[in-house]
Amino acid sequence: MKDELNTSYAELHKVRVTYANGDGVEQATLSIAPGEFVFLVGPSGAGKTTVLKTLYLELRPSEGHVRVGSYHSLFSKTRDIPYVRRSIGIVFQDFRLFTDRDVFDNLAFVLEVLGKSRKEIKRRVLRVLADVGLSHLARKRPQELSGGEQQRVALARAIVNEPRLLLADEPTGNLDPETADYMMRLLQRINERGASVLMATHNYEMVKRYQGRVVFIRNGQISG
Amino acid sequence: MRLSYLVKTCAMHFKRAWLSSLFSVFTIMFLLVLLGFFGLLWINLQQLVHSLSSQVQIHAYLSDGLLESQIEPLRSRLQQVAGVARVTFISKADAAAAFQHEFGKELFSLMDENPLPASFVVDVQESYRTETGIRGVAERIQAEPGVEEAVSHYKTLRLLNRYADAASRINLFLFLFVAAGSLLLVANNIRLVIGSQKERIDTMRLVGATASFIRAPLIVEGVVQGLLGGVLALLVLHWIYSMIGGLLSGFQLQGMEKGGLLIAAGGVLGLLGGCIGIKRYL
Ligand SMILES: Nc1ncnc2c1ncn2[C@@H]1O[C@H](COP(=O)(O)OP(=O)(O)O)[C@@H](O)[C@H]1O
Ligand SMILES: [Mg+2]
Repeated sequence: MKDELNTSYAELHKVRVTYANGDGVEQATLSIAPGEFVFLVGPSGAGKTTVLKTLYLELRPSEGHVRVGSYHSLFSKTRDIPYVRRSIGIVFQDFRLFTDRDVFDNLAFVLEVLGKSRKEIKRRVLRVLADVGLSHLARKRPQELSGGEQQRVALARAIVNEPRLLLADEPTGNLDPETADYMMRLLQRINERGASVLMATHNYEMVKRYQGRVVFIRNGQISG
Repeated sequence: MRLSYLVKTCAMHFKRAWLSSLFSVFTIMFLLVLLGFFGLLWINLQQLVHSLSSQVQIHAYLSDGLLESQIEPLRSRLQQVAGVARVTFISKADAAAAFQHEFGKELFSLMDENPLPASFVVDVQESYRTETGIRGVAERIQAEPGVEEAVSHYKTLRLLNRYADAASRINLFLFLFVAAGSLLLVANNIRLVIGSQKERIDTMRLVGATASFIRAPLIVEGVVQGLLGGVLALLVLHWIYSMIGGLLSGFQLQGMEKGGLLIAAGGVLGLLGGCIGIKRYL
């Protein structure tokens, strides 16, 4: 029952996800085409993180379906999930960096999971760290870095596997305007290299200054 | 998964819970030493029983009044007794000579008559060389007219058999104890390694790690703990052996060649403990 005209890389279709207390999203429909840059804009508590979690398959819709790459929530198996996630990059709102290892090993872990060789891992990690201007911090632990630096490490870890889809949850949320602009240009560069990007933010004023399709969310309802 | 990643992760986990890891290794060692000690005791007792039973002969002492002409017919009758392999006649004179050879004394200088009875030395067939087998043969020989008394050492065999049985029963009990102890320790070590890492492990899953990728290092750690415990136990047993070996002269201690089993047992227990720990705590 797969869509014949399947031009999107990932989509939510009439998705309902509710937490135990009744909060969540309802009738959420959203599709992201290959190479597209989409802003998901809404106030705090609107359901942005919930949408992203559904897309990276941490939350399972109770109605509707989610499709990412070859994964389809109605037809695919749970044990396929790790492999789908390898084609996604996630910048978590709270970073979720590994505090028990340094920046280099935070990125290296993603490639270990992919089974890359030591040489390949070193090459890719160093290149990505250079890309986001963090080469000099490779041997620092995340907790020794500033918030802005941690945010960039989170981005670097999300793109080191060269994902088809990047999900970024408030990646500029705690940054001063200048650093936020640097982060936006990094995201655009990743998008230009071919990845689809879905960025959640509460800051519509900032979004207006950049290219991309804007989708609004409020009280768990998405509106184009 | 790359080997160096595996090693690095295991080392990281060891650093996080080194005390409990070492505790696991040494307790497994201690438990396996106990197991190994009684195992070796059992092996050696069995060996002893086996070698003694192959040596056991029955001495059939003949009545003093037996006539020369009755000896050959008695020999033929003994030869027919079930379980008898070979019958050798020892005359009164032979017995005296043997006595003299052994004790170096002139028997006849002390007494005016040779007091040693004539006898048949009976070798028992292979399949009868057990405690009950030998006992049966001895009873049948005893029943023959002309035989005063048939003496065998089946009672010694019975005693040794009993010790061997006890050792094997202790061993079974110990094995259960060792198994339960090792499983508990290895599983608990996983609990400590995982500790407050729930969020970190969730993140690993979110960046695409499979369950087995996360589990593999934990399983390897369990197996390594078990194997290390086994190796150390073997070293301790070797040391105990060389101590006891020095005390026992002449008797060759056996069973050390089965030491690999102890290491394997440690490894298997570590593996199972790892699986249990993962099921419970991950
Ligand atoms: N784990 C949770 N349990 C219960 N309610 C939650 C949970 N996570 C989020 N919510 C609620 O769901 C709604 C949407 O949350 P979220 O998706 O995090 O919003 P946003 O990311 O847009 O700030 C909010 O009302 C929030 O309080
Ligand atoms: Mg959020």
